[in-house]
Amino acid sequence: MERLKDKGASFLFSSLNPEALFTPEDFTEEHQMIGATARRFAEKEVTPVNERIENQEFELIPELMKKAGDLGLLAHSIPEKYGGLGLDKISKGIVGEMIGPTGGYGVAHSNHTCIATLPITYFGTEEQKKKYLPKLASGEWIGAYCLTEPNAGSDALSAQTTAVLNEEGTHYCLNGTKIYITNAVFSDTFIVYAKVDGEHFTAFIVEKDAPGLSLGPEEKKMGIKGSSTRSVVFEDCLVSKENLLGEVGRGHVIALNVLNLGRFNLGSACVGASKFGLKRTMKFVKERRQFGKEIARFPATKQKIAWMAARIYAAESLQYRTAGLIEEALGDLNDANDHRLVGKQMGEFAVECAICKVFSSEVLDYTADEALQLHGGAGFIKEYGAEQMYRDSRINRIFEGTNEINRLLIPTYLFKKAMKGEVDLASKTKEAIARLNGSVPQTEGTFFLKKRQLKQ
Amino acid sequence: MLQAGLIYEVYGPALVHEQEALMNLADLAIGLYAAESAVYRTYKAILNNGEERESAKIALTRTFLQKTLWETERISRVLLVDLTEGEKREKLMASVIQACSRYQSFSLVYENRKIADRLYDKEQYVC
Ligand SMILES: Cc1cc2nc3c(=O)[nH]c(=O)nc-3n(C[C@H](O)[C@H](O)[C@H](O)COP(=O)(O)OP(=O)(O)OC[C@H]3O[C@@H](n4cnc5c(N)ncnc54)[C@H](O)[C@@H]3O)c2cc1C
Repeated sequence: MERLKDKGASFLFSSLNPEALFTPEDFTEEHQMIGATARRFAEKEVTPVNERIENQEFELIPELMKKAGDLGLLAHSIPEKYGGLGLDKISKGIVGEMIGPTGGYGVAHSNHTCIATLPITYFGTEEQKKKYLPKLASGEWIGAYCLTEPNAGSDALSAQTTAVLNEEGTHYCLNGTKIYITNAVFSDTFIVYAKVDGEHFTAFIVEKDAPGLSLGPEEKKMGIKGSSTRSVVFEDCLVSKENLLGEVGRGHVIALNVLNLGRFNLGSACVGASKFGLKRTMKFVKERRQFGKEIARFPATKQKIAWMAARIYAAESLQYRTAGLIEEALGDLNDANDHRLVGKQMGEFAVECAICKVFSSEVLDYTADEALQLHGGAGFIKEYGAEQMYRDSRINRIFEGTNEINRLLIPTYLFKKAMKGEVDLASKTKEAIARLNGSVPQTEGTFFLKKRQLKQ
Repeated sequence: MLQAGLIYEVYGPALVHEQEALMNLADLAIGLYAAESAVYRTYKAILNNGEERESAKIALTRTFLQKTLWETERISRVLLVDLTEGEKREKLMASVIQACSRYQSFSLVYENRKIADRLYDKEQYVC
């Protein structure tokens, strides 16, 4: 992996050069522009129809996605050659953040641009990219990602859906059930994982009118009601051999690596939603008066606001730092055909992406909870909006790998590196103890020492 | 790294079964990545614009660090109790407490009020 300056999880054992760190202060004009476009879209197009989205008028979502597509908000991560904009991963994070406050619509949007499109962008053949990417970039088609099954949730690779090549050797025959599939009702393409001959975990692109594909009823959910969630059933569903994605037996490389980018993006959306919640709450506490003054003036309120803001600052900082790292790993691979290299590069920052997901989703949950609390009784009443934020927030700790699964991934990755001899755990441990005991001189200012301590 | 090393030392390759320790370790790593990202972002901004103009970032960073440090110390102490015993535990515990408390001696009550006032002024999250 000599091509990378930074290696995955290196923050655990080496120090950082601030010059190499990407921060929101480094946004270019292009970044600002796509951010402004996305923000305007969310505020002007989505928010005004929020109530209809919440009432599950599902025809609205494809209409809004088409508008988003016209503005380039679905195309940022798709190469220009296939009708996309070919922008960097920073832009992806920015759009994710701006769409974050839009609840159910945002989930539909992000699900489409990330886990439903990226498998084709990074692992598709030339023909597959030509056929699908322009339509997915424009919003003419919408995508879904079908991994979860009744008996395979966190343990996704234990999927029971099967794929068998027919006698003529032209089609795979799929059998099985996927559950909780986002966007199912309005999707045109489904990325489906199945085991070839019941053994080899493999990805397929299935179109909605494939014979033998059917949808279950709409699930009744706690939140993100605007995004459709249904089961997708395959009964002797015939899928052309050309729609096999990647290699037979290597579907896990696609499934898991695409989730890395999905987790990063989910974190971005959570930061956007948190900022929105804080803004709405500040407006409320400045208007609401009790004991003869605005509740904003009470020191306890101020402390809550400061704690929310500090957490959001940290979340925003780690999201864009990770965006910079992913861009470094993948920036020049948008149109690469070396799928093994792509897989490797996408997996390099798995720990950082898991942290984005866990940390930012928990910042959002914290913010949503405090936002609701500061609204008092109004927080519990629908028309003030805090209630929806609270309900919508909760799913982020569950999907794209529960926060527990993501937490477990973090130390496991480090220990795997140690076992492979890529990290010398024993000497790093000694070094940490020496530092703790103060035998390594610390010369930097106090601001820095704080960080040092954490590292130990 | 100390905690990671200890876990490895105590359990070896069987550590995947020690989920309680792994979860704690994950939280230390998350705290570190978050704190480092905030601190270096602020530091970079100070290098470019000076402390005065970046006072908002400094305040937000300090508030975040204070919370994270307490949490780091708490988790580290739990892990030490789970993973070590006797003299080794006592020595490491003392080091961890001493190291962490060196930076917990500042009060942020006043600074936090200022953070809120600044945000009220702009009516949105700014840094
Ligand atoms: C609204 C919604 C939309 C979704 N959209 C999609 C989609 O578009 N595509 C898709 O493929 N899936 C989707 N999902 C599924 C989602 O990704 C799964 O629900 C999630 O991965 C968890 O799987 P599970 O529900 O089977 O829970 P389980 O795996 O049964 O987990 C239950 C609990 O056990 C814990 N647990 C599990 N294994 C371990 C372990 N080894 N160690 C410790 N704790 C463990 C978990 O953390 C969790 O707390 C969606 C789900 C919802 C609710």
